[in-house]
Amino acid sequence: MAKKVGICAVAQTTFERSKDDIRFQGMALDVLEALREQVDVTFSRHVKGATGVDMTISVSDDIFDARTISDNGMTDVCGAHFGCEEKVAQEGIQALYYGLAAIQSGHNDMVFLIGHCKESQAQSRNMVTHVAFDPFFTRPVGLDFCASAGFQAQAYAAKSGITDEQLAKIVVRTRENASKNPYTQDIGKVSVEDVMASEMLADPIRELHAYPVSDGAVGMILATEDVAKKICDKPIWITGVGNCMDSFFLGDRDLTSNFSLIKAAERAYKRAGISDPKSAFDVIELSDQYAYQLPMWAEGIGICEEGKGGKWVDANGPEKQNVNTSGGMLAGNPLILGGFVRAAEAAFQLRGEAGDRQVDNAKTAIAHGVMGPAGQFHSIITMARD
Amino acid sequence: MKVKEGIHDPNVTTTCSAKDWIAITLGKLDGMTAFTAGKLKVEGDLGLLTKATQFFKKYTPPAGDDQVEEGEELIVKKQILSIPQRFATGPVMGKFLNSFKEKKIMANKCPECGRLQLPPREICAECVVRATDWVEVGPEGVITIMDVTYYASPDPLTGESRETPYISAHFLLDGCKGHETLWHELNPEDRDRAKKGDRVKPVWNENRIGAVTDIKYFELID
Repeated sequence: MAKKVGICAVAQTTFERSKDDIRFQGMALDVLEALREQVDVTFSRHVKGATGVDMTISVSDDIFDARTISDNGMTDVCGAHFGCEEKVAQEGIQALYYGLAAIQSGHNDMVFLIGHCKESQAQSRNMVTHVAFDPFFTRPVGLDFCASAGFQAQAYAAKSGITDEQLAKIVVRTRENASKNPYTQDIGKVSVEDVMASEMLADPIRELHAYPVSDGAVGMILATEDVAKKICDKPIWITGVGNCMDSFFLGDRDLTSNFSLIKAAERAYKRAGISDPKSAFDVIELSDQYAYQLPMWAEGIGICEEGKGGKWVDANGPEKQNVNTSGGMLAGNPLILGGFVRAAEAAFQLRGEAGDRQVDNAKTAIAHGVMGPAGQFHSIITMARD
Repeated sequence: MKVKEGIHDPNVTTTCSAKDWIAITLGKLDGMTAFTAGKLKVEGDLGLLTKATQFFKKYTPPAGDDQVEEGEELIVKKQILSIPQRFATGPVMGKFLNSFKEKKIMANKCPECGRLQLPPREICAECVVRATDWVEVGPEGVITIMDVTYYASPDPLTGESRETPYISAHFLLDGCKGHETLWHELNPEDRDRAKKGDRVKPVWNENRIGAVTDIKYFELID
């Protein structure tokens, strides 16, 4: 990596099934205020000579927000008034990528990142992801992200031999972990039998295999090495970043090859100087929107042998390697914020602020985000503390 | 209406009252009928003007089955997207809208710069602090700017368009200053006589539900 960039502050709201008492602007403001309690920053661009945040990057989904260019209606709570604001409509972890680029390019010293989504605003999450498809072909044949994931899960089960019981074990562990994370919604604990008896959504994906609909917001402040050391005690350094976009049409892809995730991870590892991912990370946060994705993405980032995800689950791999100790995305984050929240969780862990779910002496972490049908786009951020 | 500048060697020139011209552009008055009735005077190439009428066809929203003319190769697919949604107003916008039920207009105030916000928002963008104080303003005020809109975007679901023309206006309500104006509508009947600086009052609907439309419009105080 070129110039060092530090995460100086990190905050999030709780994630709930439906935050009926607050607008998305209000959620973003709660995050902004929490960040300003951690670091003393200004947004006074109109005051001559003032220093502080000089770029805001927001993350939002226009369809959930039901307005176009939805970021324009909330620049006040982003601290972007009289300044610069840019929006990420891709997976939210990309906000870290753009913030990093803005700082490493030398254009900005301090960047504020804010992601928010109220999935509860739409009658159905699947209706929203259905609209991600083109109107001529993929929409009329009935695709949405859940149905696409069903295809992938089916193909992955055929390749790896992962069983319904192994998928159920993942959900049971997720909910155990979620009970220790005060930011996730109260989704309750379940047994393997409960999961295996839950309704089928898109074979082999069951209702309890899918991440719950949720509302919430997450934010960070990034800064150059000099500024980071000045404004905070324990900056978390971004050590590597990589991403990769695969084909939009499912037919163009080998759905089980993990092609774009492998590429994204390779690029991040190269920048971070990581040669053995199995031993490189104390904390691993993966965006598991559906249960089958936890072992599949684990294969993709190289912490588990290809095609052996099922055995890895049976061998307690997720527990041994501290994968999704937060509960992961299966414990409930909005689709667009999955990777951003993973990165926030990794930063909490490295700062030693993860409460009951804290991994002892965590020094290095990897966060992963995914967007598009059946893992079309993957993005990886690696980080470390001094 | 007099147009001084423009193309100096036009192929066709039309003369007509502003009112009739609007009716023609909205498709409410047929151009040929206006011409025969003497409402529209034409100098120059009448044939060219006849072709120009296609510009004045009122916009009709897409509806019904695909209609593909014989021999046409490119297919246009029509689809109406509909995702039912619900929006929380939150404590700030919610308080503002709720006060409409009692025929009150509430602004919120920045504790640092004292600026009033209409509609109220969570934060003062300039000071980046929560705007926590509340002030009742108006309900009377003056017009600071007004504009007449002659078209209406149809509702994508119903295909219905609102009545046109309608008058958008900024009102500086009593108790507000500078740019602390409220955007709403002016009674269309006041169109020809209203001007900047005129005093107005809100006309409230009988049944108020806590919506911005609880104010039907503002009207001139005679």
